[in-house]
Amino acid sequence: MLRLSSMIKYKALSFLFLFAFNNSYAENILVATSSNLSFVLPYITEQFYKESGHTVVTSLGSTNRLYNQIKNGAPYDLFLSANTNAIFDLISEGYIEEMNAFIYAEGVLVLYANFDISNLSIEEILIHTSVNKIALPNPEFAPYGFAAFDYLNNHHNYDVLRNKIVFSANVAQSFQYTQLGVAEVSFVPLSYVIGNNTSVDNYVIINDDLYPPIAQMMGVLRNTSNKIPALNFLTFMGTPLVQDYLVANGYN
Amino acid sequence: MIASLFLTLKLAFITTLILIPICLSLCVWLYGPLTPIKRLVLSFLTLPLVLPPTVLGFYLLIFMSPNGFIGSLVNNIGITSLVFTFKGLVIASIIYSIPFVLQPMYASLSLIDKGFYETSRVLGKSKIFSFYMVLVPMAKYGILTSAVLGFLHTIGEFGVILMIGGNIPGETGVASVYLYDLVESLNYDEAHQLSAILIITSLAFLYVLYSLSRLVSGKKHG
Repeated sequence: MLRLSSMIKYKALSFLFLFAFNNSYAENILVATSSNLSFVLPYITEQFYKESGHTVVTSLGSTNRLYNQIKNGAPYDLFLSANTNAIFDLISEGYIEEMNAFIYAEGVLVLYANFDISNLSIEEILIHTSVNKIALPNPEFAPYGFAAFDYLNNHHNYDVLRNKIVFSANVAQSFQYTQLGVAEVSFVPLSYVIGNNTSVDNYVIINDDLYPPIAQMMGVLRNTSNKIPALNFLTFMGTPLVQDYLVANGYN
Repeated sequence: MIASLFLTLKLAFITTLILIPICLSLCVWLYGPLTPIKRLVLSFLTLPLVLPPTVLGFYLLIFMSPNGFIGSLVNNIGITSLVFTFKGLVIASIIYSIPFVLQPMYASLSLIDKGFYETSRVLGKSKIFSFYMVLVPMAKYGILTSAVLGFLHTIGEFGVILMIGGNIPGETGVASVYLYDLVESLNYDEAHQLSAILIITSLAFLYVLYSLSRLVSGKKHG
């Protein structure tokens, strides 16, 4: 899976030459974006604007909702998914061409708490007496929630924790629950805790060997009317500038 | 799916049952000329009608959190948490549905000729007696409309519950949120079934309501 990602990245890099042709005009490109990227995209789109002159307009939502919108004719130029399934489905259904898709990032899961957890193991945190509720995005449809659910099932006693678990509609909500103290701990993306300048005492990174990879894939829609700027943005996401920024801000 | 529907009906029923006396009491107080303070209260109680439910839900989440205004208030009487509980949903639903119960009730009471009320007062009956024994029976269709709208609006409540519910089966996992999850999970077959049930139920209630309107005031509406 990981090797596949870098393979596809290089494939995308071959589009770099397209930059040479497009500086003479500026377009708006509409990007459907999984909400886990809300903290990193402003910087990335700003840099893209500086390099290419194209403005990226983002439409945030859950991966499945955006997937559904695309299948029903939403006029997006690009789709940044929080998983690989949605993009693979869109490829097999003809909405995205395989050569115009690649894995741009891999999500990192953390356990975030509203109290100092620096001296506690994850098991100690989960069964801690002050922890009444553990929030995670709904594993039925949220990629980070699925990873957290899988992790809890395989490495902790889920049945013991069951009464503490609450499912949120998305990662932002899980994070909010812990910020407000209604769920003392939550499973959220690393990008959220970094994006909010959370103290390192309040979160712990889950070892990524212990949950299925949260590979995040993007693709240019076949019907886009802004194909060249959209391909430029796809390529841009694979450049060291963006990739280093993503790593510094909570992605692998 | 059945559990979520049952929970929704329970929530709607309890909410309506609590809202009717609250709104009747409010109408007693609101009856008569609208003073500035009454206008302010009426405006305030109509806010949930116009505010986006997620805004309402977000502030309810803040207020109901352990350190929030409502959260710490109920903490004093031994309720540790309102968020993620059925009690919390009832409180949220009352706030969310109050304009839908208050508006038709207030409107139908205001439409009644003041002479009836004044006659009762002149004959020596108290304000409360005159209101409940003279005005309320005359406004029974408006009050029934209030009850049905409050009930149905609570069934359709979504944004607020999504914010404060936590989607716990049997506790906060109501039909509207369950439906949202089905759609998000791309499980359209079950989503269609649940939608059909919700549409048919609501349609049946509204149909009965309009049928009753013919019976109650046959001459006017028939």
